Formats: sequence, C-alpha cells, structure tokens
Amino acid sequence: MSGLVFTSPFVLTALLALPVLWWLLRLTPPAPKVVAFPPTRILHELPQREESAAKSPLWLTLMRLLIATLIILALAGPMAAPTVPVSAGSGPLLLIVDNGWASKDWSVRREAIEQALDQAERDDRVVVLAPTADPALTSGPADAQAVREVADSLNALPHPPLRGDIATRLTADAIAAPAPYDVVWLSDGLAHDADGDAALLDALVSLDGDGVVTIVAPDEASLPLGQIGARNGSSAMIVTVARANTASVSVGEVQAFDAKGRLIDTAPFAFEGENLTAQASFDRPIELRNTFRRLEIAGAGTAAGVYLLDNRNERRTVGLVDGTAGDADQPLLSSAHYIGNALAPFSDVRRAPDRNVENAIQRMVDQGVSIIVLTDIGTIPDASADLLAEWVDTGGMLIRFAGPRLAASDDNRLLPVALRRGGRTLGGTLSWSEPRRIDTFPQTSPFSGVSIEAGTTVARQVLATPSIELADRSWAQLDDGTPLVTGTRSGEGFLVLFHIAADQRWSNLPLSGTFVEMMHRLAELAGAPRDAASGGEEGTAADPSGLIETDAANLLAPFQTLDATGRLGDPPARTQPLSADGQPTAVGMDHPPGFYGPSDALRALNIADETFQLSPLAFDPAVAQVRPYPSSEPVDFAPWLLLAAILILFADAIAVLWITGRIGHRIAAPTAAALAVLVVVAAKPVSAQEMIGDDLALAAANGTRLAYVTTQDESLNAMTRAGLRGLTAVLTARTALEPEDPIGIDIARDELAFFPLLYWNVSETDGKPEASTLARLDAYMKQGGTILFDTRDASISAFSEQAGVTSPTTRALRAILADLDVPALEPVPTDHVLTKSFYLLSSFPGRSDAGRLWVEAAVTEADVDRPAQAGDGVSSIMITSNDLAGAWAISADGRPLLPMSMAIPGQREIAFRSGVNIVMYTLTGNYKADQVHIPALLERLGQ
Amino acid sequence: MAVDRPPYDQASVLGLAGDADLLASTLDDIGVHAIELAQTVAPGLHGRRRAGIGDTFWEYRHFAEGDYAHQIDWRRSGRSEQGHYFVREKEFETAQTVWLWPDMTLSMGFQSDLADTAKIDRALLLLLALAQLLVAGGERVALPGPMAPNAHRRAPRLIAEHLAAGMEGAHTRFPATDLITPGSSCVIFSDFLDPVAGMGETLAEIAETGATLHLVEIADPAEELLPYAGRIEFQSLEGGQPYLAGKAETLRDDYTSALAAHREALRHTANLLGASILSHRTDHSPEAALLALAARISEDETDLFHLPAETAA
Repeated sequence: MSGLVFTSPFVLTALLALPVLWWLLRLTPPAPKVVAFPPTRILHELPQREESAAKSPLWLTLMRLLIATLIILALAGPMAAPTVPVSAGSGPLLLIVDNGWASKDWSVRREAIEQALDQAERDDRVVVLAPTADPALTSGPADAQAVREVADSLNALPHPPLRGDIATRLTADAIAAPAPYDVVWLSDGLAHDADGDAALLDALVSLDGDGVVTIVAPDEASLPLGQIGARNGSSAMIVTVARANTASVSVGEVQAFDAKGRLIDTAPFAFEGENLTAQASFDRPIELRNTFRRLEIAGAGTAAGVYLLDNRNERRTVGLVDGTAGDADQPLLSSAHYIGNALAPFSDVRRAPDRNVENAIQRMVDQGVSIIVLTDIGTIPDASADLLAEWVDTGGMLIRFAGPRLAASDDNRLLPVALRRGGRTLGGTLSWSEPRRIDTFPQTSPFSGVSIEAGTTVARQVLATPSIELADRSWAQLDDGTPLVTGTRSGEGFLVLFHIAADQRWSNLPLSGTFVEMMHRLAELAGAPRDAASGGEEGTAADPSGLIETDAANLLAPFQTLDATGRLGDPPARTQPLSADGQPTAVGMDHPPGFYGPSDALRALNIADETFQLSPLAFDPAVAQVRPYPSSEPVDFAPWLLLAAILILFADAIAVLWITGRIGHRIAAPTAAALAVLVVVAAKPVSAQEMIGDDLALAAANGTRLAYVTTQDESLNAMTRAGLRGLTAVLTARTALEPEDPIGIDIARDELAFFPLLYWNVSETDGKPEASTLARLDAYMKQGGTILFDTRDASISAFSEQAGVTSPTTRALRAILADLDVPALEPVPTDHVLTKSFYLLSSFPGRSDAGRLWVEAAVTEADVDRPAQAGDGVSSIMITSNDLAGAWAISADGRPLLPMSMAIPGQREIAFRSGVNIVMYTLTGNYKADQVHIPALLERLGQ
Repeated sequence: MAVDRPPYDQASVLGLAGDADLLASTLDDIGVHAIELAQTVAPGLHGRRRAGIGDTFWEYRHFAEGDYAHQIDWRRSGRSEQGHYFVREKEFETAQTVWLWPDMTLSMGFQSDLADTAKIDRALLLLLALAQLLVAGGERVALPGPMAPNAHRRAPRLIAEHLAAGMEGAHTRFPATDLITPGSSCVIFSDFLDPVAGMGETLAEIAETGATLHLVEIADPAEELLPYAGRIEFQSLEGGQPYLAGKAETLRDDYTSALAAHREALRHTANLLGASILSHRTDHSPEAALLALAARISEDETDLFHLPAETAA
C-alpha cells in the first residue's frame, strides 16, 4: 500500500502555463550558428533563396514541453509513502508493539504506530495499544486520539518483552469485549520466551476477526546481535556473540570500555557457516582485561549488544605458598594441586618457586597478587608476618588453610579468630563421633547461596577459641555449629581461615565442586574495597554482609542502567534495588540491565543469563502472516523526474546541434549514444596503465632493444621508430648484437632502467618535461644510461645563424638541458672511442653533415700519446643535430624513407656506421679503448 | 540575434594585436619556417646565373637574328674556324628591387577548421621566404613605406622587425604607390576579396608607377568550399551586413560560381595591368607557391628589357 502525495501541490498550477510555453517554443526558431567568413560580401551577391522554417519542429517542441512538465512535477515534490498494513474497515484495531530491548529500529516501529493510528483515526475505529515490554501501559479500547497520547510517550525498554503478561491482559474482559479485532503485531522479530510467545499468539488469534494475525517483522537480515557472555580465561577474555539467524550480519567487532567509558580494546568476531554463535577474543594481559567494564558489539544499538562486567569477572592473581611437606613425590595429592585447580577457572595461580616461605611471601607481595593462600603454615616468620599484615591492610586477601602445623602452632597472628591448639578429630577408629556435615551457609556469608554437595564431610578441623565475635566471623560452619571457615576484614583486606587442610586428609571438601564455588566467591570478594559506611562500623564489623556493601535492607541500589539502545545512563525512577543475596536476578521492568551497588563495588546485571539465546520469532503460518515494516523513508520521486528531465535536455542539446548543422547525422547518433552511456554507466577507471607497465618491462627485459622517447608529434615518433628499425636491421646484419624491435617509451612514466641507449628526437611542440621527469632522466644518466639528443636542425642552422634566430628544436633542447645535471661537453675528438668502437669514423653524419656530435668532455690526462682516450665509462649524453634517425629510417620493405644532403659520398652508409659505433660505444664502453692497443700487443707477442 | 562580440578573435590576427611580443615570437617561428622553406626551394632557383647586362664574362654564343652588329666579339669570331660570329654575353648583374606587401587587414586573420594556419601567417611565411630567397640571390627587397630597398642578407630580418613593429599603413589592403620605383617588381599578398572594380583602380595606380605587379591571392579552403551546413549567420570580419543562411549547404553551388566569377574578374583586371596572379590555398604546401612566385619574379628579370610577358594562367 502506498499513497502518492505532493509536498507542494500548489506548484502543479504551473502546469497551466504549458500552453503559453507551447506558443513561445513554436514561435522561436533555433538560434543560428555564427561563423566568421571573410567572403560574406560575395554571399550577399547570391540570388536570394527561401529562408528556412522559422518554427521549431513539432517533436522538438513536444520534447521541451515534456522537460518543463517533468521539472514542474519534480518541484511539486511527489512522494510515495508506504504504510503499515492495516486492513481497511471500521472494526476495532488491536496493536501489539514489541518495545523490548530488540528495538534498534524503534523509530520505524513508532512510525508504524503513528500510521496505524492515523488510519484508525480516519476510519474512526476503536484502538487497543499493548506494548509488550510494559504491559501496564496497555490502553484502550478507546478512540485513536486517546490512544495516541499513550503511544507518544511509549519508549523502547532495555529488557525482554513480557509477552506472557500481555496475553493475560488481553484476555481480560474489558479488552476482549469489542472483539473481533483487526490484530496487527508490530514485532521485533525475535522469540524471547517460548511460553509467553505462544500464549500471546493464542490470545491474538482468538481475538482476531479472521483468525489470521498480521505480524509486522523486520527483515531477517536486520535482526539484532546479542552477547551471551564473557569469560575471562587464563590467556584471553572470550566473548560469545549470538545471532538470531544466518541472514544477519556475519562479521563484526566487540569493543571493550573501562569504567570511565574509554575504549580500551577491540576484537573481531566472525560467524562461521551456519553457526549462530561466534567468539571474539581479547588476547591481552590480565591487568588490562581486568579493567574491562563494558563490552559492546560495535554498532549493535541494543541493550543485549552490551555485556557489563563487574569485579566478579576480574581475574585475580593468587599466590600460593604451600607449607605441607613431602608431597613433591605425589603432586596430585598435594594441597597446592587442589587449591590451584579450584582457583584456576577464574584466577591466575602463581606458585611459590621454592620452600623458603619468607622468600615466597616477599615475592608474592612484590608481584602485587590479590590473594595469598598459605596452606598449613603454622609459624610465619616475623618479617613475613609484618609484610603480610601490611599487605592485608592495603587490600590483600590472605587465605589460610589449617593442617598439622597450624594445629600445633601457638601463633595467632594473621588469623581471623584465635585457635585452640590441637584441633579435633571426628570419626576414626578411636572415636565415637561421625564425620560432620557442613551446615547451610548463613545469609550473611560470602558463600551464601552456594549449594553443598551431598556427602561432603569434615573429619578433622582446628577449633576456634570461643569468643563473642566467633559467630559473626564464621562464614561457614559444620552442622554442630563449629566453624569451618572464618573470615574478617583487616584494614582494607581480608583474613580468611579454612579450619581444614587443603587436601583430602581432613575433609573431602577440597574434592568437591562446593570448594571450587567457595574459592570463586572468595576470589570475587578479594579486591572489593570497603566503603566508608562499612569502615565506620569496623568495631562491629563481624557481619560478613558488610563485606559486600549492602544497605540496611541488604539491597544494591541502581547505579547506572542501560537504555534500550545500550547506552549507560541514570536509572529510571521505577528501578528497584537489586537483592544482594547473590542469587541471579532476572532482568525486567524493575531491574533494567546495568550496574547496581556503590560505585566502587558495582554489580553488573545483564540481559544475557545462562539461558539467553537469540532466535527468530516462531509461529504457525496458518494463524499468522508476516509483513515487512514500511521503510522509514518515503520514496521521493523528484530526483528521478529531474534525472529524466536532464537526460531529455541532453537529447535536446544534441538535436539542436543537429538541426543547426553543427554536427552531422553521422556524428549525432553516436554522440547521443555515447552521452547516454556516459550518463547511465559510471565510468570505471581502467587499470590498463599498470598492465602496460608490466608488459613494457617484460618486453624490455627479455631482449636488448633500442629505445626512443615518444613525443606528442606522432609523425616524428613514427620517423624515429623507422630510423631505429633501420639501425636495428644494420646492427643485426653486421654485428654480434641482434636487438629486438625498437620500443617507444614515455619518459614521464615508463621504467628507463632496461635501456642502455635512449634516442630522443627533440620535438618543439612538447613542452619542457616536469621536474619529476627530469629527475628520472638525471638518475638514468647517472646510473649509466646514455641519451642521444637529436635536434635535426643542422641543415638550417647555417641559415638560422645568419638570420639570428634559434631553431625551435634547439630551444626545446636547451630548455630540457637547463635543468639536467649535464657535464661539460665537447665535439667528439678525433681520438674518442666513438670513432673506433666498430668502424673507424671521422665524422658522424645523419641526413646532414653540418652538425657535430657532442659528448661528455673527457678528463684530460697527461698521457696524451694514447691512441684512444680511456674514457672512464660511457658518455651519459650525446647531442647531434644531424637527424641521424632520419638517415637510418627505412620503410617496411627496407627502402630509405628520407633523402640525404649528400655532402659526403655514401653519406647514408656513414650515417649507419655512426649509429653502429654509437650503439657499440654505449654497450661496450671503454672496452674498445683497450682494443685499440691490440696491434701493439700482437706486435709485442710476435716478438 | 545580434552578436555583440566579433566571432573571430581579432587579437590573434597578426599585425593588429599590438602585442608586439606575441607578434615577434610568431614572426620568429615564421622566420625559421621561411628559412627552411627558402632552403627547400633554393637548389631549384639559379636565376642569377644567366646572361644579362653586367661586366663579368658569361659565355660566347652564336650570333643570331636580332642581335646588333656591335655586339659581335670580333676577337672570338676571328678564331672560329667555321667562320661563325660570336656574341660575348656578360653575366646579368643588375639588382632587382622587389617590393613586398602583405595585406594585414582583419579578413586576412581568418583561419577555418580546414586550415592549419591563418591566411596572414601563410602570407607572411611566403613573404619572408621570398625575401630570403631574393636576398640570397642578391636582389634588393623593400617594404613600401617603412623600409627602403635593401640587399643586405639581414634584410628579411629587418622586414620581420618592421612587420612586428606594425608598419605604417599596414592596415590598408594595398601599399602606397609613391615610393615604388619604375622597373621594379611589386608582390602583393592579399585575399583580394573586395569588389574587383575598387581593387582594379588601386592596382592600376601601382601598375602606373612602372612596376611589375605580382598578386598572390591567399585563400582559406573554407572560403572556396563553403563547408558549412544548417542555419548559419555569416559575419564578415571587416564589418558589413551579416548574411543569414537557413540552410548553408544549399548555397554551395551558387557560391562557388560567384567566387569563380569574382576571381575571373580579378584575373581579367590583372591581365590588363600586366600583373601575374597566383592563387594559393592555406591548406596547400607553401613550397609550390614559393617556387612559382620565385620563377615569375625571375621571369621579370629576364624580360626586364623586353615587353611584359604574357602571364597566362
């Protein structure tokens, strides 16, 4: 369903002006093209002819009217707004709205509510609005106007929708009365609670007029992600992310924030295949991981996309100092083994390296561990005792286990309660008594709520000296009331004593899961600072409940809570405090997810509990049909109309050009087609350049080639190429060098390193190369390359000098050389290697013989008698004006292309020999300078 | 629809811009091209190496009908075994003065898409190349007005400089007549598009000075072919009424015959004045035109003391 509306309908009145436009367009002929034409006077003498039609052709006029119409329509702002699928009718309308945490697209849902209410108001229908996350706000049956007030105040809430509650409400008489309804369920597309979902659907079906409920659901791909939980493992924090179906996003990132909201780290996750869960791993040092307070799926935008961490998720470091003796041979029976394994799932256990208790304790304190466990150490060395006392006062937790040594010790320092010497044994062959069971943990104990495995018994224990504090300090006791675990605050820290040994000899508690859970609770407790209130009550701080910061009613006040979009903020007014009894609390309207408790001992409450999972809303297709949400943005037709107008305008321009004769028929059609293609297809940048570069490199590297610099003058390039082809043919025929076909290169772009010789026919039309190009040239020359410049102006230089002008190519060459690092030059001296490198030459003519070949001036040496100068290397630059390439140039069938000046006999042959010498010189360098000694050497050898 | 701005960018028309630097650099290029051009043509021209009036011996030839008896070289004839009479010819040494004149009015600045160069540029190229040739051959060249006859080898350079400086009277189609001397040649580079009657009077005045006239008609290919189609407003570059053509392509035949008639009238006028006329299109090679031009001027020299040659087409 969609309605076409105009945002500015009054603009449409402009359509009335179209007939006037028609008249104007018909009247005005196309403007003539103005050309300058000197013999216009002669045209006036021509016999007068019929003037061309002064009116535009009909089809052109119609085209222009169409442009005008399209523009007027576009300005009127045509919009098609898709609407929520409320069937027409006058019966009552029941709107169910999911406003739980999965409301990232709440604005869309809200828009849908608005539209449904609009429609209901138009049709004067009775409406019931039922928000599933807040059943109390269910309103109606009433008219749409009344319901709208509730709808306007409706917000998404950060907890799962309570569909079961809604179902109960809907079946109430007041709402059921006006049935049958037209039911529309604006859902979040997720199943939250199987029973509640089914109950709601049943209720809706019974209320619906035709028995088929319309469920509006987001499309599958936009269902939200959620976090199931985070596990702070020994090497990394593993975050589990869930998705509702395989259609939704498959990769993403989890961001970790600290208590101040700073982004600490991110970790990617990716759903593999059909998996509905994925894991992100924060592989960071434990100190860093312990600062994480909020894990958020980047861009999730829902409360379930955020997982809050409190200090229970921190991983404690535990120092373990074992005092029991002689268990090195039986490590699986040692105390350290039991304690280590019990602590390992949620903390890092560091064992004492040696038996030296003093050293071990010193080391643990230095390492800054949170918990130190001493097993059966009766007498603590004085220095260590002081150290430990200070450490406990600043927040450490000292856990001690009893044992034969402790039982025999008189040392009552660093114990929560004073001990009676010796302890007692329950059961055994010489006793009437039975091993005792553990009593249920008291409510005020840190162990409160930990279940006790059946069959856990204590056969031996150390006993506390009776005192008034004993009961309060007992965190666990046996069923006869004797303490099993005692603990107390000491300064900022804790002193905890297990009245049993840490191995199986005194009790089978260390073998049980209860022991693990107890150690877990202790690890959570460790490092939890006390607040001022508790500190004030220190005198009577026997109540362990004071240890985990509750108010008088044993409740945790809300501190910060998440809103539906996953942002932390002040808790809403109706948020209730959390019970501090350690029992898991379900997230709900009274307990939105967030942090509870005092700011320094926060308790995190998350939507995701152990049973949390994401799955799409399931229903029986027979009783429900799914419709998509109307897209939030109405479709605006104006851009499309304008685009059409522009396209027609292009066509009009081409048509006008064609009519006025500025382009011919042959050009018009392809131009129009090209324009159309240009407009329709976005030009894709071609990466041919790199391919050409690679091909060039391959071609150049696979064989020696002569190369020339391409200029903008194509005919000059062709001539240079023909010249080098001629030289290549001569080289192949006469010398050991058999070059491949010559190649033209772009000095600004192509790699020059492959070419020993670059022939550069200077063109006057090319501007001066850019600085970067010149730098490349400079590098090329300095790395051993040779450039042969040819200005081709020797034939006219005599005239030019006479007339006092410089030829353009010479000017161009001067411009190039001005910024190159060119050494001193000289005309090729008679003893230069160039004159001997293959042929013996006295001059280097091209098409002309007037110019000279310039090379780098040789370093003058005292040894002037040498037959050839031993030029150290090859001249990096040669300059001629004789048009060598022109002389070498041959056609495909081997005939010379250009005439010669014929100043000397056989000039073309000499020109070829010059070329051979130049190539040989660049390839062999001063090798030939040595060759000239051969006659003398042979002569000596002969002697 | 009125056009406020002249359709042709007048600033680029040589000699009219007043931008001396631009003109000078353009002329520099033209000068180099002119040198190349002259060099191309030079080997074919040996106009000086022939018999004529002078002091240097040139050759002996047989006495022929029409020679005067006092021309016979008796010493040579005496040595002849066959009893032939010989005439001693001297090498022609009289320097010819050639007056050069480019039409630098606005219409010469025209360049259509079909041509590589403007008419004025081609005219100047031919003029300078001709000057180069003539000076190389020992003739004197002159610009009526600013430059008196000069045989120095830098004369072409001087001409170029005068042109660059914007010579006096340069904006008129034809040169002033008062300086042109009898017996000289006068080469006028123009498009000769004005009405023939008016041009004929001016040309007659020049011819009356006794100079041999050579008219070089420079035409743009577009001016001959009228390669336009559609609705076109033709604008003359030198003012005058624009011409609006509804379908320019239909005018082509009429225009071609009108142009031919105009040229025929011009040719007729030139014949009456004993002037040669050479048509040159800017899309054609300048070498051919220069060769033809040089040949015609050398003909003047040969026929210096004879009747004006028949300058047939």
